[in-house]
Amino acid sequence: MHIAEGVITGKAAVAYTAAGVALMAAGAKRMNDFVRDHPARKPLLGMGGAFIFFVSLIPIPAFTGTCSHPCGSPLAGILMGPWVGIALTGLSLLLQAAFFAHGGFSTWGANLITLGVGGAFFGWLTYHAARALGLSIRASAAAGGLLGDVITYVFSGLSLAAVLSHSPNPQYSFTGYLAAIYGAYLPTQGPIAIGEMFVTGLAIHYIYKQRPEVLEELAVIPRNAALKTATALLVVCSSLFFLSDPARAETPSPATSQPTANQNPSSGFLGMDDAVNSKMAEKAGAPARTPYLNTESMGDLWNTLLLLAGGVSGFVIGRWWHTLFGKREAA
Amino acid sequence: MSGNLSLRDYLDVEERLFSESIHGWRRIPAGLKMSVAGAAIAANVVVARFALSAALFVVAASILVWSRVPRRHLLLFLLAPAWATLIVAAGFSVGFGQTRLIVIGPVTIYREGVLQGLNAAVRVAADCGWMAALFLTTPFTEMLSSLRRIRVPGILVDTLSFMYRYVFLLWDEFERMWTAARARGGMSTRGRKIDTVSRMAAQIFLQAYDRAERIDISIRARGGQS
Repeated sequence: MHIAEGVITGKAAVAYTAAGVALMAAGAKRMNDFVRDHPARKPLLGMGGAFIFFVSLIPIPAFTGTCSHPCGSPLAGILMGPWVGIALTGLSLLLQAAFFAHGGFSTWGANLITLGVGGAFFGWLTYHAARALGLSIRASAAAGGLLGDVITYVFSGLSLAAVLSHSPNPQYSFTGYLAAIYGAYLPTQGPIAIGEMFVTGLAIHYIYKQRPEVLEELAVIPRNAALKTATALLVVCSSLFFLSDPARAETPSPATSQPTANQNPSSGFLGMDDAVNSKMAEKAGAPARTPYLNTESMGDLWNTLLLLAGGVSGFVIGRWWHTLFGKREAA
Repeated sequence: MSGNLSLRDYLDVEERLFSESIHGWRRIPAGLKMSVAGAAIAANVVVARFALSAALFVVAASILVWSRVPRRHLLLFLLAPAWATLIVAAGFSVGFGQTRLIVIGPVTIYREGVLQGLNAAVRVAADCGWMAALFLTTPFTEMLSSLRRIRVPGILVDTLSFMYRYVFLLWDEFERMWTAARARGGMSTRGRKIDTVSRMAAQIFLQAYDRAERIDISIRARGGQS
């Protein structure tokens, strides 16, 4: 998605280029900060830039029987952060203009604003907003890819309409050009945005599945997300255990203070709850009441719940064993 | 859409620049060429007059002929943006003007619009001519050196240098994966194609990430600072 060479001229081209240079300066400052904080990661910027340039060349199905190229900038923004994403998009646009005549040098500034701010920044923003709302990594990245693309088209339409409505002999007003441009974008760019949504969501998902530590290092996901997930699951399981434990019931109930069919009083062994705790509670004036969830009357449900909680906890600990206790050393 | 230009074509251009004898515009220092090309493109865009654009195109074409740039490379470079220029010219023809030239159903083509479209086409030709005069006669490394000399932030030049060095490598890896995926039915349906492309993008990113680590280690092992 590029504004073609030759469309923007005069003062508008100068203003867009100046804005593009300012964005690049801000991006360069963030890149310097990144390198200062992680000196060993400097080559990653170049590889990240090469990856963004490469992504913009990948043919993706556009749901209209044709193929097109994704913007790539939402994926860049999600992976590298908004400012570094903008700077890398700017460098990528230079190479695209030089190698493929995608866009051009006179429209570089306008393209950096549409693809960098619209794609990288809003892609990143949408991804993190979606994560904050509790969506999965895949869904959040897909939302970032879609909205990053849509905002790119919105910015592109606004830039073009502003330029065209101030050109000599305009046929339409600003809104007229805007309507015409968006009308043309809908059937052509809409399917591409949907394609990019899937590719962005799935690409981030597959990176997460294969190497979550890479996303942690790039701050795409918070550190120790797996540990947090395991802890949260353990807390949920423990809560389930606690809430469904009839021995922790508070209100008295004559019905439950009586031995049930499974607890034969003649057997001589009532268990700790009945033999000691219940009697102490009665003496203290707080006899047992009917529990909120009376699993005693539900056959083997209580045993099943215990079994299930144990199974889930075992799975969680086994799945994230390496996070809890460190990875096994390679032989 | 990029006409028929591909990364492989640009690699051919680079190989030719280093393998053939230096003559014509190729002899001029990269910094001077970049300044002249930048000034020409800036004048073309800011002034935006037909006569100036046409004159600039003629000068750029003369430089390319003088430098004996292969016809195939030249045509690829000049024709790559042709489809986009055609759309721009067509859009200008119906989007600007007052004097009706042709009416085809609901579409009206205006005289002023056609002239503006023609003006835009010549402007694009001039820009692309100067871009070709620069990129088809100057190795990328020389341009990067010139950028360093004019105090472009080092981090940007270094990153651009890494990008240029490794994008060919990533593309080669992608092409190998693409061929392998096609051979195994990974592109058989639209859904599978999207899934395959996403898996490949993830894989290429992880390879790029690992390669960045290896580059850093190799630079530091040789006493440098990455």
